Amino acid sequence: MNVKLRRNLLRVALCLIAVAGGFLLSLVGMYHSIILDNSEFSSAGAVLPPLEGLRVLSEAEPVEMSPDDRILVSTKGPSTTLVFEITSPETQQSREISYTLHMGFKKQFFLSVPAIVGGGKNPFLVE
Amino acid sequence: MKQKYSFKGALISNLVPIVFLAFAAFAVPMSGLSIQYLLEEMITRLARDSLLVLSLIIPVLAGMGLNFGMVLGAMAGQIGLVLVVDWGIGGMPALLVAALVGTPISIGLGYFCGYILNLAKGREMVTSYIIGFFMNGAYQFLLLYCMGSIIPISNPELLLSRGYGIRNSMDLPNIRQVLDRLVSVNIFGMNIPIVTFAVIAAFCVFIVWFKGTKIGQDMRAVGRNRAVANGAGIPVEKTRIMAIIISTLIACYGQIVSLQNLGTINTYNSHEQVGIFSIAALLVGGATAENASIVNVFLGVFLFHLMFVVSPMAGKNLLGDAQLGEYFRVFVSYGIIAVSLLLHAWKKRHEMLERRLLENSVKE
Repeated sequence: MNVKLRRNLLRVALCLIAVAGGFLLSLVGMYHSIILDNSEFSSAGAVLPPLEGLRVLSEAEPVEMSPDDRILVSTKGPSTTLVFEITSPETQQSREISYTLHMGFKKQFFLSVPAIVGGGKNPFLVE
Repeated sequence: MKQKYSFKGALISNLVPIVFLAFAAFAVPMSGLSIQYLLEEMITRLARDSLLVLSLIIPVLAGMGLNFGMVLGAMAGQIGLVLVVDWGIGGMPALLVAALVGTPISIGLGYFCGYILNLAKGREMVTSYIIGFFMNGAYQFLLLYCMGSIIPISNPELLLSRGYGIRNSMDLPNIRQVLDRLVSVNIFGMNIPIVTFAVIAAFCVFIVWFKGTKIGQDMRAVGRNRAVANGAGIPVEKTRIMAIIISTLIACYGQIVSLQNLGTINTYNSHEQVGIFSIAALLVGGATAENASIVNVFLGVFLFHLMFVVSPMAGKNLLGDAQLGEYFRVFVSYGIIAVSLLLHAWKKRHEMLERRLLENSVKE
């Protein structure tokens, strides 16, 4: 392999590494907005009511949500885990449900909490 | 043969920093500002601007004078930051992505600038100054008309109300001081941004190392005498282009470091003052159009910024008006550039006349 070809190959490889590094850094450093909606959710005939005694634990401070509330959660990185703590008003017993969201390069998400807690396959909402 | 030390010679060659030190010695007590406050300000400003001023050393080495074209690198850095803010990237990855975006742009602009400067040998400084103005037009066209129309911008908060073009100023919400705060040490109530200084130190090491390499030695030879360097087989034009590319690249990173410290971009103005300011700081540090070192950079940034902080207060306490102190600082600081460039022109003219006289005497 002659010197010129080897140099050009090295240059192309460096460019590719830089582009791949850029993508990786963008993925790691990207901020995402997640809007969580705690209102009635209906899908395929099933109706899930809004949740009472709900607390959302994310990277930020825990936030309490009343029925029909909407909150904005800001996160950074390719994925995040949201923990929903639901305390039953009657029995005062708590249960926790974790939901991992893989965000990729999408900036904004709109999710229904009743759908996530109810085990819905598609909790994404479209406004 | 060892050169004899001359006090007069040392005094003359360091006249500018001595004048500024004397001015500082007079103005600091007059300002009434505490030493701790001044030190804190100097540390912040050294971290902010040293890298920009460092970018000027390599072109001086290559005999291209003070590179006013460094504003092209600053523009590239700003384009990187604008795109990073639009893409919603924050933290350290944002700075690295901005640097990655800015790198090819500044290499391209540096090549363009170096190519033009090769066509204007002997008049590099004024040419690079005008290239800065020319490219400012292209930069404004890109940001005012192309961004949001041809180049997609998804964040409406960045755009002007008409739907395209970037706003006059923008915050860097998730970027502000990320490098400065990555690791900082508090000494006597002063925050010292360790990582920022480590980055600056790394570039200093790079410059020292680079001067010792084959290309660095070639640049030195080209700077001393182009004809001799050409005769020795050094690719003069390629070497000069490389010097400008390196300078533009360091200026790009310098602008990113500077703006992350400020936390805000003045989209159409931030880069404009960078060239004049950095060159003034370097000259205040004792550099000339033919000779600049790392010591000149730090001494220059320190003294130049000391004047910035002290002059208004000294003017207010001495003359009852802060603006008078500021006028005096502007007059002295930028007058230094004029005097230095004048001396450079005078010296070149003198050398040329001497060479002609020598040639004539050889002919006779």
